[in-house]
Amino acid sequence: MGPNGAGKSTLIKVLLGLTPATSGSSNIMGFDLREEGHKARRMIGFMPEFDCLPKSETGIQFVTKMGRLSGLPKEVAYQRSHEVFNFLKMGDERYRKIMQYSGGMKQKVKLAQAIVHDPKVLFLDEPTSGLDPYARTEMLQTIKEIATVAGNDIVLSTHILGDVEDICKHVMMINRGRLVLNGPITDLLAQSGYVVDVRITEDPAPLQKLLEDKGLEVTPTEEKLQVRMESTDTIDSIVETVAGAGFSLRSLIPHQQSLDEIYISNIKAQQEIESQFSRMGNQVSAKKEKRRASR
Amino acid sequence: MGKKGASVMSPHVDGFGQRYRPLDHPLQSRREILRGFLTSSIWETVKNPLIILLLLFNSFFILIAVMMTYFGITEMTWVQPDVPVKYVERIMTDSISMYFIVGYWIFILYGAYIGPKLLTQPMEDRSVTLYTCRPITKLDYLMVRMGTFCTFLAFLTFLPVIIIFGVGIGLADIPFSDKLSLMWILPAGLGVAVLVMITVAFVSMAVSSLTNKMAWAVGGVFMVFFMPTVVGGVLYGMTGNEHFLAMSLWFNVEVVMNHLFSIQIMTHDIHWSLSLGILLGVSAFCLWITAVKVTTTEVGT
Repeated sequence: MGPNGAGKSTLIKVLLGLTPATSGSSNIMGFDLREEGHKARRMIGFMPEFDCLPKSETGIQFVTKMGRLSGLPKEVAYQRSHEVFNFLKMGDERYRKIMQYSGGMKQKVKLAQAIVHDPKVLFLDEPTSGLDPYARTEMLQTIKEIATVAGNDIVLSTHILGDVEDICKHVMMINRGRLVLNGPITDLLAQSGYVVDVRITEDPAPLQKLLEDKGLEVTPTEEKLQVRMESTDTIDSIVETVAGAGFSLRSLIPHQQSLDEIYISNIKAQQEIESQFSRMGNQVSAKKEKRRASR
Repeated sequence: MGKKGASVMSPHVDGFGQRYRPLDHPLQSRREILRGFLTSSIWETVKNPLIILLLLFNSFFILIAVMMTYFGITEMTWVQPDVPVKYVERIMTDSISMYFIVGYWIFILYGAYIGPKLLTQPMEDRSVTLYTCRPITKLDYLMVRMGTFCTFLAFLTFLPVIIIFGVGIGLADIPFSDKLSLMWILPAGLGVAVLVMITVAFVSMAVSSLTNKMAWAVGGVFMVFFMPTVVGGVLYGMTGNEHFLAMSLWFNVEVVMNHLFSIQIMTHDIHWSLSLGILLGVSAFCLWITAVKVTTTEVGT
């Protein structure tokens, strides 16, 4: 997962061998993607985020063709395509031209072509994008079933954290092409611990400074401050600070940190580090300029 | 497969809502995949209504060329029992060259439709991403697309040559040794067919690979074939320099064809080897452009 422009889709394209990596190497199931990309792709299915279906073909024609291209004989591809459409609860619409499909149906055809050859690794790029809540739930259940029944590995790329919490076991977070976080979702939530949401009637910026001066880890989010709970004393410390500075406390809610909050705090932390490096870089350049000028 | 507008649940929809089932069939080899891809690609091209229409139009010219051979030879046999072998040779070569002279413009129509349909359209609707994330390489993809076009054009260029040659040889009432002396017409005719095929296919595919807009590709193919002919003709008219005529691909095909068939109707001094060099050079350049574009273009953006 990662924000828009983080490099999620690019990473998938590199792993599919569709885009060359600028540096480093990549392999899937032991196949080096630069040399043996086509071999690796026998075991890979890919559902892209963007609209990429030929409008003049019917759903069944297209999925059968993709089945054949994935290595299924003609009759098997045709039969398997019907099986997949049945599984996706797509009835006689499969015989209609794709140009007549709704957004939800197009998502199903994209998923159908990705699973028609029962790939061992399935890349799904924003599979719930543009779906209504019902279709979204249906899509997530479908993905879950593919993983449980066939035991296939599914890589879900998304910035919708609800989807991740619903169906994923392992999370990798990237931002601006860099890995920010990596681990099982249960471990992340366990490690994340508890936080306290502090709301005051006044501007929270001065309170943030006071709390940080006391050694507390504070993250401003929208109109509240989120303080990491080190111990039960944290709450006492917050109350004392708020009362001491004369702020009016509106609410003080302790809770376990959600994936959204882990996500935001990690992205912010990375941005801060990058901006610090950038500032340091600017200072170094400025010093060099000064030295040159003085010479 | 086509069950357009089916309103009642079809038999295939019996297992509607069934659970996911893992695949219990082994996957084919890459070679078998490519063979299947080529077959389906050719079939998709041929069953297109516009192509069927063009094929019918094309068949009309094949028929005329065959009839020219048939009537030319049978009429001569009726008038003069001992037909001179030179006359049979002339009828056969004239029929073949007539077919290519008229047919070339139809081949360009094929080029302007099939080339963009095979290469540009998948880029326009971005389905090329779904093709290239299969167990084939981008070069395989290009080879299949190129193979589709060449197979199609080969059918329309090789077959008429073989038919005209067969009709001519079969009907001519000449001794067997004379028939043997006419055998050179077949490889010469097939040589012209290859030249027409690669020129039309490679140039059309190269133009089609340069854009992801169908309209641009179609227009571009016409421009590449027609503009040099027009510009070359105008420049020749203005300067009197015959070499400007060689800007036209079709002019060069005609020069090589006339040389192969020993037809002396041209009034210029362009050497056939120059024309052949231009055609092969342009075709090789176009093939290179297509290969580079298809293999390096990033898909799915």
